Amino acid sequence: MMKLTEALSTLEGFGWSYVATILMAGVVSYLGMFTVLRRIVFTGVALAQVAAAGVGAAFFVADHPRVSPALARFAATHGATVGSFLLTLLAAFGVRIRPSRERAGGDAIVGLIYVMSAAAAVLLVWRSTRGLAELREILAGEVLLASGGELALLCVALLVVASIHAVNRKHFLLVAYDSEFARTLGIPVGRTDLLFLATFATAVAFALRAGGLLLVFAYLVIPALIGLSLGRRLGEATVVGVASALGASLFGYLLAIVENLPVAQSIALVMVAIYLIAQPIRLSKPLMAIARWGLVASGAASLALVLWFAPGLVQGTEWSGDETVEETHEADEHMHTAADLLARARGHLRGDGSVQERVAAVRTLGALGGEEELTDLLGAMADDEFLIVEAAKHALSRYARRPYGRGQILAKATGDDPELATHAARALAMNGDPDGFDLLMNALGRDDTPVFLKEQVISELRTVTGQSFGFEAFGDDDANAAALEKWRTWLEQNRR
Amino acid sequence: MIDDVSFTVESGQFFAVVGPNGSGKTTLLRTILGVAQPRRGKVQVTGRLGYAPQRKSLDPIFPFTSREVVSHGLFNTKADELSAQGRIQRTEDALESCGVLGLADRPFRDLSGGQKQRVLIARALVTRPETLVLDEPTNDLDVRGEHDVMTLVDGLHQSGTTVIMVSHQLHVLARHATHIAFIQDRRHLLGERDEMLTPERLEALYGVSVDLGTGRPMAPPA
Repeated sequence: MMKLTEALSTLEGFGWSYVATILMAGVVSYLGMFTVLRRIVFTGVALAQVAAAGVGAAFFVADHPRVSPALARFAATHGATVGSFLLTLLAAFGVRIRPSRERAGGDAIVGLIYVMSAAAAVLLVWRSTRGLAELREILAGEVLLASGGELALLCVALLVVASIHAVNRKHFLLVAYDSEFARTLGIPVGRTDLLFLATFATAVAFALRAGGLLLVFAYLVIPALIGLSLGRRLGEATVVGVASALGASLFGYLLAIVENLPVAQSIALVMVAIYLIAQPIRLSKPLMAIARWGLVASGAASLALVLWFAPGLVQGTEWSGDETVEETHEADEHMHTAADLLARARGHLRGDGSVQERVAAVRTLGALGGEEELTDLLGAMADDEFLIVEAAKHALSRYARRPYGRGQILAKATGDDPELATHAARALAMNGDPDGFDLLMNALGRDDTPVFLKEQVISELRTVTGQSFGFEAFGDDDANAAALEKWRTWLEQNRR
Repeated sequence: MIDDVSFTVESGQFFAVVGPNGSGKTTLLRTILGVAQPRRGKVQVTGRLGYAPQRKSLDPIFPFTSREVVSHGLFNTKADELSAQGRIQRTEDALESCGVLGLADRPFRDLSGGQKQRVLIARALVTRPETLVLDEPTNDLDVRGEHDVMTLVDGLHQSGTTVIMVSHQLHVLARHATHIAFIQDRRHLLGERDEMLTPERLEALYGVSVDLGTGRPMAPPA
C-alpha cells in the first residue's frame, strides 16, 4: 500500500483539482444545510438533473445540422456551462411556482421536473458519442478529470455564491425559518428567496460540471446531517457540517489515491461513514464534543493542505485535467511522483488488475499522461471490457481538446500501425473533428484494417451520421467502394 | 376576504378577533401587520407592532436556541440604533420579561408549547412595541401553558401594551379581552366584550349554543 507521504505528494499532483474540490465541499455543504433545513433535498437532486439536461441541450445544439456554424461553435465551447446554468436557474425559479396543495403537492412538481430533465438529458445527447460520454461522466462524476476551464469557472462561481451568502446569510435563514415574521420586519421575502435559489442553482450547475451528480448530491445532504447530529446550535452544526465535508474530501482523496479508487465515490462513502459513526456518539455529550473537535481539526487539515499546495500552484503549476498537465513545471520530486503514478497506471492497464483498477488507470493516464501514454489510451479503445473502452473514449475526447493534443492524435491516426491509426481516427471523430471522419473512411477502405475494427468504425459512423449506405465489413468491394463514396459525399454536405 | 372593514383599536385596548375557520381572521391580521395589502382603503398604525405567530408554523428542524429566536426580532435594527452589547441586553430583557431567561440557551424545539409561545412573545417584545399582535397563542396548550401565556399577555396589557389577538378560545377572551370583533360571512361586528359575548351572538356566529365557561358547544340536554 502506498505510504501516506507518497499519497500526499500524489495529491499535490492533482493540486487544482483538490483546491476546487475543497472549495466545492465548503460552499455546497454550507448550502446543504439550507437544503436540509428547508426540506428541499429532492429539489437539489432535481436541479442537478436539470443541469445535466442543460449539458445535453448544449451538445444537441452543437451537433444539430441546421444550427448556424457560429452558434454551434459557441454551443460546443461554452454551451454546456451556459446551458446547465441557465436551465438550472430557470428550474429553481420554476419550483417556486407551485399549484395549490389541493391539486398537487410541491414535491410532485419537483418530481415532474426531475423526470423531465433526466429523460431529456439522455435523449438530447443520444445521437452524440461525445455528449453521451460527457453525460455519463456527469452522472458518475470524476473530479480528477475535470478540465482546467471547468475548475476555474467552478472557483469563480462558488466564490460569488459564497460572497452573496456572507452578506445575506441572516436574511436567508430568517426567510427559511419564519417567512411571515420576516415579512413583518419588512424583509422582501420573495426577492430574498429568489436570490437564495439563484445561488443554489449556480452552485449546483457549476459543481455538477466539475464534480458530477453523486459528489454534488453527497455534499448537499450528508454534511448537513452530520452537523445537525453533532451540533448543539445552528452555527455549530454548520461549522461541524462544513468541516466534515472538508475533512471527508481530504480522506476521500487519499483513499482514492492509495487504493486507486474513483474520488467522488470515495469522498461520498467517507461522509456516509462519518454520519453513521456520529449516530451512537450522539448518546454521549463528551464523545460528541470530541467528535466535533475532531471534525473541525480534519477540516482545518484539508484547508492547511490547500495553503501548503498554494505556492506551487500559483508559481505556474497548472490545472489538472486537459490542457496543462503535460506542461508541468513542478519540482523534480513531484515529477518523480507523477512519473511513478503514470508508471503504476500503465502497469495496471497492461497487467491483470481488476476492471475498476484499469478504469482508474485509464483516467489517470488521461489526466496526467503525455504523448507516451497516448498509445496506451488508444490501445485501451480495443479492450474487451466495455467500461475500459468508455473510459478510454472519454479520456481521449479530453486529450484531443488539449493544446497539441489533437496534433498528437492526428500523428497516430496517420501512422503505419493500422489498428492504432483507426483508434486515433475514432478519437478525433468522437470530438467532431472532420479529419477524424476522413481518416475513418480511409480506414474502411484499407485492406489491412482488421475486420472487427471495420465493424466498430461502421457502427460509430452510423451512430454519428445516421447513415450506412450499405457498407459491410464482409461486403463486396465494389459495393463497399460505392457506399464509401456516398458516405463521403454525405459527410461533405453535412459537415460544418 | 372581508368587505368594508373599518374600526379603530385604541391605545391600551385588548382587542380580540373571533370567527369561524375561513372567516378571514388571519387575512385581517396580515393586513394589520402590513404583510397583505387591502384592495381598497388603508391601515394606519401608530407606533411599533410586535408579532407573535402560531408556534406550529416554525419548523422544529432548525436548531435555534431561545436566545437566537428572540434575537431575530432585532434583525432589522441597524447597528447605529443599537450596539452589539445593546442587542444582547435587549434580548435578555425580553426573555426575562416573559419569564423564560432561564431557557435562553435551550433549543427552542425542545421547549413545551407554553414555553415556546412565551419565547415568541419575547421575540415580539424585543423591539419594545406599543402594540402586540398575537395569532392564536393558546391553541393546543395545556391548562398550565394557557395560564402562563395569558398571565404574561395580561401583565403586558396591564402595563400599557395594546394587544390584538386572534383566538378561537372564547373562555380565554371572556376573561382577558376588552373589545371583540366577530368576523363572519365577509362582514364584521365589533364592540365591548360584554356586549359581544352574549349567548345569542355566539349562537348566531357559530350556529350552535356555546358554553362561555369552556368555550365549547353546550352539551345537549340529558
